[in-house]
Amino acid sequence: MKKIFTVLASAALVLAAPSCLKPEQGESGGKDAVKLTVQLNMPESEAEIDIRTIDVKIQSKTLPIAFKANPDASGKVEFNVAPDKYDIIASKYFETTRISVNGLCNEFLLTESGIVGQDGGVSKPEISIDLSVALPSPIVIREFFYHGSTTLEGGVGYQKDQYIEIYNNTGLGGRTYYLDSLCIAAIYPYNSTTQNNAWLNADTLALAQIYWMIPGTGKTYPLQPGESAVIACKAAVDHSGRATSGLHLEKAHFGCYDEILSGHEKSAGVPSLECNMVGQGTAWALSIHSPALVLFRPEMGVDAYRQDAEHWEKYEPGKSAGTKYWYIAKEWIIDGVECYDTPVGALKRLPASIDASYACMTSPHYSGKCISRRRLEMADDGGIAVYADTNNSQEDFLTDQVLAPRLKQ
Amino acid sequence: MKRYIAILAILTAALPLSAQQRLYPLEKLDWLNPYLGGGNMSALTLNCSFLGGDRAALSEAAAGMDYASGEFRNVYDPESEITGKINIESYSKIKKAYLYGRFGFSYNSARHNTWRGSAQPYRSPFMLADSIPGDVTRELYTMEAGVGVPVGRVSLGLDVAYDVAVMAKLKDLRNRNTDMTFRISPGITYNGKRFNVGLNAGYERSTEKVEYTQIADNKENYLFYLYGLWIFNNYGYSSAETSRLSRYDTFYGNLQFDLTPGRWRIYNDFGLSLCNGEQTESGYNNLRYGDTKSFTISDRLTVQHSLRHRFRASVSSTGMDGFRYLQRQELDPSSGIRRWVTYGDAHKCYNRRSLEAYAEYTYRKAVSSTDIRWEVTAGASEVTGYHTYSAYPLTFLQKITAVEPYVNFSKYFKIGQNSRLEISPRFSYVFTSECEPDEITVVDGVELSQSGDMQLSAPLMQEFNFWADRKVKAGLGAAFDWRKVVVKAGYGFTRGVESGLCRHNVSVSVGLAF
Repeated sequence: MKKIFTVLASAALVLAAPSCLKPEQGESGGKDAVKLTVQLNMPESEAEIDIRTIDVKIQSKTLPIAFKANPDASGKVEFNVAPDKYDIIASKYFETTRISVNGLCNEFLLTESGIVGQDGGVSKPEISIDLSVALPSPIVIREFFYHGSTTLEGGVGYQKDQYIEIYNNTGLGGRTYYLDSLCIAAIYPYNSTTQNNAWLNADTLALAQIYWMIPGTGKTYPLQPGESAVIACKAAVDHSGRATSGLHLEKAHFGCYDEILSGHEKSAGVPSLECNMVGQGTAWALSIHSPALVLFRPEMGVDAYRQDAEHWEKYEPGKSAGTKYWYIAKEWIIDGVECYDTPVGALKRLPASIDASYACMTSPHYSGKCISRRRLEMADDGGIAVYADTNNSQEDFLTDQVLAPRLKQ
Repeated sequence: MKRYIAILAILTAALPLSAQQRLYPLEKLDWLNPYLGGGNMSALTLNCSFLGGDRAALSEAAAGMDYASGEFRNVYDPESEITGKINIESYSKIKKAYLYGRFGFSYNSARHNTWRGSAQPYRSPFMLADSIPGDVTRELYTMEAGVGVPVGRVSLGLDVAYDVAVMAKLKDLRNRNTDMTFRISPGITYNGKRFNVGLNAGYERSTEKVEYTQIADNKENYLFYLYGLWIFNNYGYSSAETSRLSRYDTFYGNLQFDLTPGRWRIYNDFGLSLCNGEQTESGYNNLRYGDTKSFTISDRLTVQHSLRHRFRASVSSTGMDGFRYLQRQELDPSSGIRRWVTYGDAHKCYNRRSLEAYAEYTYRKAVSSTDIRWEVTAGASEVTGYHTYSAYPLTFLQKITAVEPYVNFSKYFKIGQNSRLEISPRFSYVFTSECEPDEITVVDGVELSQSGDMQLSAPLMQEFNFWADRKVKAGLGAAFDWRKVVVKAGYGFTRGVESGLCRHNVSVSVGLAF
């Protein structure tokens, strides 16, 4: 009898085990969510702006998921979200007045207990964002090609054809803008995927390797409303026989060129930008992945800025040794665009007052695609196009665009 | 005789087969000592049924080659692969001590392998991989030693095993994986007249390091960070972390009993296993890609009557959870180095529940334990898997259930006094049911937007279609046994009913039993 019982017990064990197997569905079905409260603060001087129209977006930094909502009349909005690493972007563009309102909370950790502060302490899951209100810049980055193309021979990646097109966006009746002494640079870190951004949320931004300055005496290079200037970043030459981009950058308005940079080229007749090395290298290391590009003018003038190394050349925040970087104040920035391959894991380098979000390319590197600013239909009168400038690149830029630089004729 | 040799030659030369098996007579020892299928080496002392008297050892050395090719393949399988392998295995007795030893080596060359970022891609949902097909080579060395010593009515034993493998992809992006497993398990058996009880516990440590490199300049390749169910992030090679270290600690225990009432034999092995895994960067600054915890409960039952009847059933149920961490880089003031700091609890994101079971009956026409005329086995197996990935408010779910009835037949032809030929056809059909490739649910009332693809749909569907397709499987094996030499050959194919695709495999091996 005992033997029979033993056999039956064994068989029962074998047959019973599968009943333990049940799918675990909806693991995150609410229980893993944390209530996060966001309070938007409108500047007192802009009290007439209806804060309920501001779009608030919370973007995960680990997966491509975002949640959107609008605040109540007090500026408060609540989200139920999983513990994760997030950015919050608040933005609104008013087309009739061409005013943009932006706010940003950069990369914060939300745990089950609350928000992790810079000191590692945990506070309530509440975030306060001060909004900034801005008018459009007179000059903007209209098109930016950094992704690279492919060589005609060998089919390997090619990045000497990178270019920037800047544009006078003041529209009909706007003013002439003089490009003289306008500076162009990428902000450090070179790539948004770098896991070490010690400059996060800082008021001053570090320049990456080189900043270029358009030369001139002050009125040498005027740019009329609706006019563009194309700057070849590495080679102001004819690329049509080299790469799939087929660009004729020998017709660029300017070339980033200096004899000390062996990796650069320029055709005769293309004015050179003035190179200011703040790092090392034989060519401008403009990322093909995720650069953060800015146009700026030091408030004290470029010469005075250059000579004030004691004030503007510093170590990485928190360090007192190692590499020194040249910094600029964020208030000096006239326009900028933050570029990502993906928002997942990306670190923001530009403040909300410059770019509250990012332009995200989905086409592969070396695909010969660029980002291009969105043209506003309603403002396109008198033959002079006006482009979106809300300081929110998700709204302002079209990504994965065919190259169409406005070169010299 | 010539006719049989001619048949064997044809089979050896032209036909493929399944994985290399242990040669006769070692593969037949399970009938005599079912403990040998487990890891309790104290039960080696029960090997007296074939060790003793003038026989102090039973060994075999074998070398073989496998080849597989065809489009019906899982996402991690290559277009074709060839494997050469040797295996040396021995049971022996020195005075009172019963010993077991094994050494194996295999070299695998695979053509156009994709997504193979890990030597064992189902061990963890977290993996670093690339999408470019490339040829992959893998060397594997396995070693195991066991000893069992009787002490009165009790036997004590110890099992030690060490495996090491090196896998390398030969095209950018090139991953080189170094995989190591060490296992140690003491065991004890109480030996009664008609009743044996055994218990063994063990610890296993596995590590796998993967490093990616790129040789070509100016070619942009992407590395994919996979989190289970093909949820992913991808980064250009130059801006991605390119190496990882995985560690797995497994604690397990098995309880066996063996009853022999009359001509009956009832053997049962019940096991529990707990495995903790972690995946980090291979450097120093604490970046954690994910942890796993898995728990397995298993049971294996064998009921035999005389030398002719055997019923076997087995079930193994595993639950695995995957966890991700919230981390950020912070400057360590003391070292001046930025390190990853973890905040909050580990976030459970992945769950896998799987069941593998089978039940089969074998009838043998056996004159003695070594003189078998024919045997037939009929049974069915079941594989069920549920995978979920949760990213609030989304839940991704995949379900697959497959049931496979099968029948295997072997006929043994005695040729003269010293030779024997075995012909073994087999056939099975895999039914699938309740299969769902990717059910996505969203928590009610939550408005979300996606800024990109979360899942890699192509490999997700390739993997699902492979598992969820109904299949026809058939094969034919042959073994020729002359004195102490055994030559085996076999061919098998699997055909997907819905896809219409096929995969063929062939194997040959030659061994010496002594």
